[in-house]
Amino acid sequence: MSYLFGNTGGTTWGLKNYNQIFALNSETVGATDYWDKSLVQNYDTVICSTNNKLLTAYYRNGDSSNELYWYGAGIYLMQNMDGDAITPGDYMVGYYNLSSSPSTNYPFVQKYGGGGNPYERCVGVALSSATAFSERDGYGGPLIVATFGVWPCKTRTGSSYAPRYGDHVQVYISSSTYAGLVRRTTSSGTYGLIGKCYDDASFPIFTDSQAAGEPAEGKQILLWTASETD
Amino acid sequence: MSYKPLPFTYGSLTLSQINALTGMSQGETVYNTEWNVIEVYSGNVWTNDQCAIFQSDGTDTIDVGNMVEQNTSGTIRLNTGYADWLGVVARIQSGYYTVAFTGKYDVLVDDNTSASVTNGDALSTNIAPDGLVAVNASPASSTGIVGYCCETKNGSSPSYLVKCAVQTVEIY
Repeated sequence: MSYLFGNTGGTTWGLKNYNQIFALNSETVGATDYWDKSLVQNYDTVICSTNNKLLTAYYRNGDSSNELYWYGAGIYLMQNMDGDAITPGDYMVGYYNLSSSPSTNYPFVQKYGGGGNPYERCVGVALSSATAFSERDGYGGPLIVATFGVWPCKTRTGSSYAPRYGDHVQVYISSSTYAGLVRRTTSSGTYGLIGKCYDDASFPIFTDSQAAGEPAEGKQILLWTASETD
Repeated sequence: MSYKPLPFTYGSLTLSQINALTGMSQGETVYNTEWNVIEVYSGNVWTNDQCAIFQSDGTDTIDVGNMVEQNTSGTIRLNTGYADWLGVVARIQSGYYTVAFTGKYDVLVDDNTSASVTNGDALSTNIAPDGLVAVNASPASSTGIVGYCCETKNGSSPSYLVKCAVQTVEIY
């Protein structure tokens, strides 16, 4: 653990917003929410000002040459099993079709891509990127997933789908075209409800490292830890 | 065994001590010895990992322990059934409401429906007046279960606070 800077709240780095901490372009010079994390050490702390969460830095195996993750209450390291790469804001469900037993210690998750019943396996929202499933390894890259609390999620657009205040929010179950997105529903008696729309203002989510890029549409969602389905 | 002092801004304090603090700035921290959580000051109200912050729409008088739901403006009001239940009000400060969606918090039980509670009882929203809960004897076949009693207590009219393990699933 590095020395305590004595910043706000007794943390190492004080207050940083969601994009400074998690956005894929946060370490790109010129990005609005640029934050050089090269000095962040294992077990350093920061407060995410977007949702008032205290987070702790974690490099796999404590080695700062590995990727930097941020842990907090309800945030876990998982393993991507999806055929697509994952970026922050993707909603993840449990992997449903385990045909092999790859050696890894982390839960298997995927975006919904058809098959199974995704509404029975709601897990949480990705906070980091991960490489796609690899036939050679038997799994994809690791990623951190937030299972509860207020977090930005990628959302489907359009008045029928974009979450608004008072809406239940649902994992998108009707089409693999919208894998990883969540949507609104006004019906309480339906499957795959994962939480509520916390803020219906747009929250663009950066999906690559370009300073400006073309962020995906997102909103802040209050996620429960699970979805009661039946 | 030696110890190291907690690095939080205000160390560890009881709930009432935290609620009485003044002059905080956003991002300051304290350990809540009653709820056993680290709390962060949002700039308006203390909150923690088990809660989210809302404001009231002004139509109801909302107290600590009330069940609330969110309206189409993003503000909260007393919960009127079970379908839209959001959580329980854990703290009210400067016009802001810290609403708990998981964890162990006080909830307001309707004395008319449930004159007493027993540790382990299921508590439900849709068999009590707006904003309150009552004991539900058949939780497995019911909607609106918000959690389970953590204490045995005799009630007092019209409602009384009971410690409850608030559950976090989306209810329908």
